[in-house]
Amino acid sequence: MLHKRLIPVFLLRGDRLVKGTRFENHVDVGDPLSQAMIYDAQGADELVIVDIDATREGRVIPPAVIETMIRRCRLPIAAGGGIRTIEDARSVFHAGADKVVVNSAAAERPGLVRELADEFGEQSVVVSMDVRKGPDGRYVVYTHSGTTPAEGDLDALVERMGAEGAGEILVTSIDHEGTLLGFDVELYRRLRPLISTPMIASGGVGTYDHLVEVFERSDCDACGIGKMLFLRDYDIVRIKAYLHGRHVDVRDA
Amino acid sequence: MTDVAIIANGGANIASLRFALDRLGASSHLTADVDELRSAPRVILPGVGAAADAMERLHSLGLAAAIPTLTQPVLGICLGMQLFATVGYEDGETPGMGWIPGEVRLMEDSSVRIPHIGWDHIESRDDELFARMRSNDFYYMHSYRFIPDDPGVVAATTTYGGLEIVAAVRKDNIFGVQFHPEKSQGDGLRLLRNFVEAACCTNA
Repeated sequence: MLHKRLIPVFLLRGDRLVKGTRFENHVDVGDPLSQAMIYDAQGADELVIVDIDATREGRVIPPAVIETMIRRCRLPIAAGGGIRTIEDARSVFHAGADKVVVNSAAAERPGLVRELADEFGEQSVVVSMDVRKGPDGRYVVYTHSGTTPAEGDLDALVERMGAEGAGEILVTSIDHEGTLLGFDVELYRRLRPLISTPMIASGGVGTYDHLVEVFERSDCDACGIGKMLFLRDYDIVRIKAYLHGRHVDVRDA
Repeated sequence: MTDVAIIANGGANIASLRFALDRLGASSHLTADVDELRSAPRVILPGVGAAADAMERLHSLGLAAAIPTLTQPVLGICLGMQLFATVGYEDGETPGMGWIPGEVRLMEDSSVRIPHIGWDHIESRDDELFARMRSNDFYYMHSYRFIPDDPGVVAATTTYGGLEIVAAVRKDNIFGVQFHPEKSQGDGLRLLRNFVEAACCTNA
């Protein structure tokens, strides 16, 4: 059966990787190629790399960074940052990415997802959504790296993305991101029935048990991992060993 | 050093495949020339995207008729393998090359997620193609699957929900895999090496 996936999430700023807390106060965590090779060697299942300034600066993630990673790594790479059109996506695929990640542009115009799915295949399109929980307990989607609230109800937007042909959906809790205090498990439990595609949970993981909990309680298909890998003493090998011990089906490292 | 001709069918990104072959010590080049394909020791047909577009390109290049006449080992990857079929039902009906009789259909099973994306396990029926594997897990990204008429060509399967997906086929000099070996880390590289070193078949 399909294994659960562990996916290091790379946030690209310029030509360096960074990590923040709740989308702020980013610190440098290394260069993309070295980090990609490290996680490939450790048996990560996939990599996601997103240029976090691309949308705000009106450009697309530079192909060169993707090309260098593809040259040396033998695992799937999903890349995003500023993708608004089919041609933007094509430049990312030509650089070697296996999937494109769309965020702000998809929230603003979900029809883009259908266009990308029709052109490149649904399996190649990852819709990424960043959410915050408001004081009234409602989740709000934010675009442009967490700066701009999007219109509409989260549940309806997720269903819409599924209808438009998203291959996978990646949902990041901004409130939990970088805190190492655990995933927003209730968020994923709530969204799971709304979309039949694979779902990637991201934001907040800090311990082995956080991973066990989110897989067991939300039936998500994959987890994005950030600070726990980059700024703490965890690695994919030991994470997978622990998960196996807790009967979570991940592929051997 | 074995040279691999990769069929230039537009669409598919071949960078990862070329780097993977390079890592194995095989040289590779992209070509759409029939004579070059005939003389290459190994041929790979990669593929992502829509079957109709890919077949149209192969026809316009004169390759749809030429590929089934090749006698050296030929490997179809993902959509590349599916194009070997008689017909595909992605957008209406798209005739394939008819090299391995069978059809390509959308996977439908409400108990599992479609597309089938991620690492999944294969049960091998071919000790040569799957020699020396460490875990027999490979990376899939697809919504359609190949159903060959002759079950004897099936070289490996993957169980996904209630579906037994054809993971690999092998018939004479034709090899096909549904997953992406160039994205499947160590075992993927080993599979490509097994293909490159396959002892069967030569160019006529």
